[in-house]
Amino acid sequence: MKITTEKTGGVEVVHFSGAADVSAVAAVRQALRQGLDDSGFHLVCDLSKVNFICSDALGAFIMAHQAARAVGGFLRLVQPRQRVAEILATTHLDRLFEICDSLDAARRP
Amino acid sequence: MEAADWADLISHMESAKQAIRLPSAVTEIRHVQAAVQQAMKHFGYDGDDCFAVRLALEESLINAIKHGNRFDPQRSVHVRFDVSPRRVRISVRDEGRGFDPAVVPDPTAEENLTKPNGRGIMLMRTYMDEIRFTARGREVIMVKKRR
Repeated sequence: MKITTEKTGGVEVVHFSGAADVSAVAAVRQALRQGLDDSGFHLVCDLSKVNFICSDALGAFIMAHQAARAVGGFLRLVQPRQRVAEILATTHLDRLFEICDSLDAARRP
Repeated sequence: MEAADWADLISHMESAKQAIRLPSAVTEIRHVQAAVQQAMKHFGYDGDDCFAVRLALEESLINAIKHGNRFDPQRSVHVRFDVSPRRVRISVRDEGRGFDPAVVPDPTAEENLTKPNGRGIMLMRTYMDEIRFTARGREVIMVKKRR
């Protein structure tokens, strides 16, 4: 999995690309932890190029989301692909996460 | 078995069967995934079927390594798969103490949504057509029928 970060408009965005399978979980966890630290717990996660996600990776996003919410911040997911969106819906995690249609929408305060 | 050898082997077969013994390390999962996916592609399964099997297999192997064998290097995971033009059948067996799948909490319940674990079996049940546990929970057998 490829992970890059950028900061625009005061908002940190982590771009994930490829498969969030079990071999990627450690990197996902680290990127989320670093992203939360760098962003002051206001983090946007671009999932538009993620083609697979396992439950351990979902767990990493949940932990990061909870950490952000605990201090009044946010972790938003952007444009998950259909199969990933279906997993989020199946697991009802679309009720937990704020899922945005675009990076612009996700960047709003 | 090397990928090229596996591809050559299954090109002459009516079904692709293999038994693999894995050490209890998640880094080994990709080898099984590659073999199953290659067989499915050979028999012309579509992207949705391939994705479903990939997800269910990933979850079952993670469970076997993490929860069944508790990452014990002395314990192995035994995988058997049989890919034919009509269906994919996979069994994953660990060497752990077993468990009762009936007592696994519902991960979609409100009180469980924020828990980082507990979704693997649900995903397996959702994405495969048949799934059953045997050997007191140490083995799971899953079937995906071609769409």
